[in-house]
Parts: sequence; C-alpha cells; structure tokens
Amino acid sequence: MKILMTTWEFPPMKVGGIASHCYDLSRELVKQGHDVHVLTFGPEEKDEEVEGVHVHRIPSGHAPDTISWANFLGHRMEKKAIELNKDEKFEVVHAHDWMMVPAGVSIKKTLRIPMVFTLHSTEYGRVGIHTRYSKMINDLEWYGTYEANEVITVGKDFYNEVRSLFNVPEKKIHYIPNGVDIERFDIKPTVNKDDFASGWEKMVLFVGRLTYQKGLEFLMGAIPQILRDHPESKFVIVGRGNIEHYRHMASSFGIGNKTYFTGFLPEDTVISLFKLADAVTIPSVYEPFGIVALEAAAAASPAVGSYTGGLKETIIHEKTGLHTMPKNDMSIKDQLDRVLSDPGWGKWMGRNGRKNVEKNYKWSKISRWTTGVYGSAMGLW
Amino acid sequence: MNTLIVLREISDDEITKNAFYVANILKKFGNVHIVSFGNDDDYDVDGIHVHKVNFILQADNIFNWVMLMNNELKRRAVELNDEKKFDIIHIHDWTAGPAGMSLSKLFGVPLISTFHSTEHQRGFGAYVSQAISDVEWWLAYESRYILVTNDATKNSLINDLKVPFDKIFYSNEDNIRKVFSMVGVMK
Repeated sequence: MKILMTTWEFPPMKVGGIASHCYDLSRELVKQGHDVHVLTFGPEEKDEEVEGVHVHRIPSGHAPDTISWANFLGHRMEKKAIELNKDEKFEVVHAHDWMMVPAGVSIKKTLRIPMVFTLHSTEYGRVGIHTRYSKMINDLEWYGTYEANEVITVGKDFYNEVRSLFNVPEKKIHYIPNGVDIERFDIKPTVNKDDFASGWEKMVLFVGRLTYQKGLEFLMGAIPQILRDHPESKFVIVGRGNIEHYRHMASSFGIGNKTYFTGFLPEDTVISLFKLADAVTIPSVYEPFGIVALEAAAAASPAVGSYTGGLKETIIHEKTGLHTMPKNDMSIKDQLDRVLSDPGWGKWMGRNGRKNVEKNYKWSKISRWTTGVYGSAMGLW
Repeated sequence: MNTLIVLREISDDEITKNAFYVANILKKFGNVHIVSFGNDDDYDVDGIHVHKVNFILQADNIFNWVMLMNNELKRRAVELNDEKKFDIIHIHDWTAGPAGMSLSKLFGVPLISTFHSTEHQRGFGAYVSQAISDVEWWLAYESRYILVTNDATKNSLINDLKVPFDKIFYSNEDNIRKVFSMVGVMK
C-alpha cells in the first residue's frame, strides 16, 4: 500500500505518545513492504529518509494559537501532498489527533483518497469543554470522525468514549491498542543509578508530561506517607512541564531531597531508567492508552498505575503490576508500599509484564490490524 | 478556455460585483464556473455557471473558518474538473486563497488572483491578522498575476508583501484580457 501519514510530532521532536506511535508504526509498515510517507512539522522544509520511511518536514505560518497553527500547517501539508502525489499516487491518508484534521480532510478532498483518523485522546478527557477554544478543538475532533472513512481509537474504554461523544457509526470505528518497540529496551543501561538515586535507595520512576492529567498532584500527596515506611524510596520524575510548580510542592511537603525532577531526557537515558527502576508509577487521572505501562513492561519493571482507560488492560493487577484508584493518594501509597515491601514479587511482575508485551503488544502484530483498517477504508474487503 | 472562479461568498458586495464583472468578460472565451460557499445549489446566471457548497462546521474565528471551509470549495472544484478540465483558476481575496493555491497545483494550471484589500490595509486589528497576512503572502507568491481593484491595494502588495510590481494589474477589461492571454490560456 502507498500510505501517507500525517502527524504534528515525529522524532526527534517528541512531546507525547503520538511521535512514538507514528515512528514505530511507520517503520513496521515499511518492514512489511508498504511505501510510507510521513508529513510532519519542522522549522524548515526538509525531505529525509528515516529507516526506510520518507519523512517530509513542513513549517506552519505565524499563528496566534495552536488551532490556527494547525490549520496553517494543514494547508501547507496538503500542498506538499499534492506535489508528492504526482509521482507517488497515495492510496490512503492517515491523520493522528485533532491537530492533523485540517491536513487529513483537505488531502482526502483534493487527492480523493480515503482518510483514516486515529484519536489518541480527546479535549473532553484532557481538560473538558469549558472554553470556546476547547469547543473548537472538540468540534475538530468530531469533524475528523465525521469525515474519516475509518476511525481508530487506542483504548477499549476510549473506544466507547469516542463513540458516544461524537456519535460515530459502529461500523467505522475500531479499537487498536498501541504497540511497543520491545527491542529498543534490550540495551545495557547507559547511565548509572547513582546519578539519580543513592546506592541504598529504591527508585520509583514517573515518566510523562507534568500536567494535572498525569496525576502528579496525587503522587506528590502519597510520597510523604510512603517515605514513612520506606525511607529508602526515591522518586525520579522525568518529563517536561511545570517543573517549578511541582518542585515547590515537593519542598513544601518536605520531600525535596526525595524527589528528583530531571526535565526532558534523551531516549536511551529514559529506557535505562525504566530498566533500573524498582517500580514505575502511573498515577494518571485520564489515560486513553498510556504507552508508559508498555514501556515499563518492556523493561521488565512492575507498573503501578491508575485503574482508568487503557491502563485497565495494559496492567494486569497482581500479575504485571498493580492498580490504584484514580485521584487517590492513599491508594497510590498502599500499592507502591506493596511493591517496595516485596522486591522479589516486583521483579516477578516485571518479568510477567515483559512476557505480556512480547505476546500482545508487538508492532509487527498491531500494525496488521492497522493495515486491515486501511484496506477497509480503501474498499478492499 | 474553461475558467474556474472561486470566491468566499456570493452577496451584493463589491467583491461579488467584481467577480461577476471578470466572469462576464471571460465567458466570451469559454465556460466560466464560479464555486462559492452557500446553501448547496447549482444554477446559471447569464451563462455563468454557479455552484454553491455548504459547510457545516462553525469556527472560533474567521481564519479557522476560512481554512476549513475552503476544503468544501476544493471538493466541489475537483468534482467539476472531471468534466470541465479547467485551464485557469481565478480567485478573489485570501478567503478563497487556500482553494486557489491547492487547486492550481492539483490541476497543474496557472492561478490569477484578485486582491480587493490586504490585511495591512485593514489595519491588522484581528486576533488572527498575522496568519491572514501570511496566507496573503503565499497567495501573492503563488499567483502568476494579480489583479487589484484600487491603488492602495497595489501599494500594499508592493510595500508590505514585497510583490514584484510588474505582476500586478488594475482590474479592467483590457488588463483582464491581457493577463489571461499572457498565461497562454485564452483561446
């Protein structure tokens, strides 16, 4: 198949899970013999080949906010797609999340090819629809599901959320989980644990954007109580966001020396930390999928995460990790306490997690469901 | 010569009057189709074929609405092109710019734009003015020739958007015939 994928972020630019998703999916599709072009944002126009994937980076215009930025970018991507199509003859356009709705819809209409639209989260779930700005994003998400020939959602609960939120006909909406590139985790750690925690300390790792959605407030509330029983625990918090806000919170809770905010770290460092961690905490408030649970499992570390959205499936309670009640410090404290009290059990759950992702979440398997959906969009079956 | 004219909306404003003025000149040389936003409808006015398309989405500002609505203008034009095989695309103002630029690339035919004003002239008063001005820059850049309806717009194109002066013509019958001949489509 000749596939045109549009994603606003693609490595090396990586803010959320969409970049990893598109990077892994596009490379796997190439391995299977498909021809894949990716349109993504870049500060200047550039065409390159990344492991067999044709990547085209396109700038946007001067826009006052992200919605108009996305509309401008969509228009420039569409013009690029028209030029590429003269030689390539694309068969399907695959757009990811609301920011790519303008690009996806315009390419669908000018090139007259079917559109597949993957939703990774919704504005409703992220922040709620309380402003005109959020309403526009919500409308774009609806518009994407309306115009798309096939809609993909990345979680089981999330599938129902999208279906009822946007009234998507059952026959065109699908659930396909994210996959994880397991081989990336088969490296020797490139950093020393000493750089992040003392030798006697146990490392609890958080990886994600530092936002309310990721539940850091509730983790911070749990930490002082965990430290009472486990003074050896150390919380390493990796990711961009409002670091100062959380650092201040940590110092006012008296846990400043037990929380290390690293900011953004390169991928091999993050993978190393996943492997070195004694437990990975995922206290999310809202998590349509939660790729971080698969990453913990790929690194054979136990995940302790909220019983919400995709984490309901990606963590198997007491087998690959532990579930906590969302927005509940006491529950986070109780479950982290169990792992920290029984390191052997934690390691056992980590190994089970690894087996689980090897069996169920390899891209080589997941991507075949995606091409199945492409085929439906193209009317092949 | 089959001409496609795209404009945001057909109303009783100066932009619409000028669009029909151009259409009436061009119809002497072939078919003229106008695509614009409105309730879905196809009809003829004095031998000019009008096609209106609806767009269901509301938007939070004019820039976002125009960028998204233009997709419907493109869709209709692509359908029409199957039969009509347009030789030239002519659009009015930035509000039809995205359609003009995309369709010109898609059909491989020249684009001639009419500017009735620029965002610089309108005073940069809108939240989205810079984005609108960027679209105007791209539109001027990708147009083979530009027609203007007043001198102030010509000056703004030259001074603010750095358009070469010899690309710009005042919109009257002589010049309209001239620019459409120069792109080699007037047969």
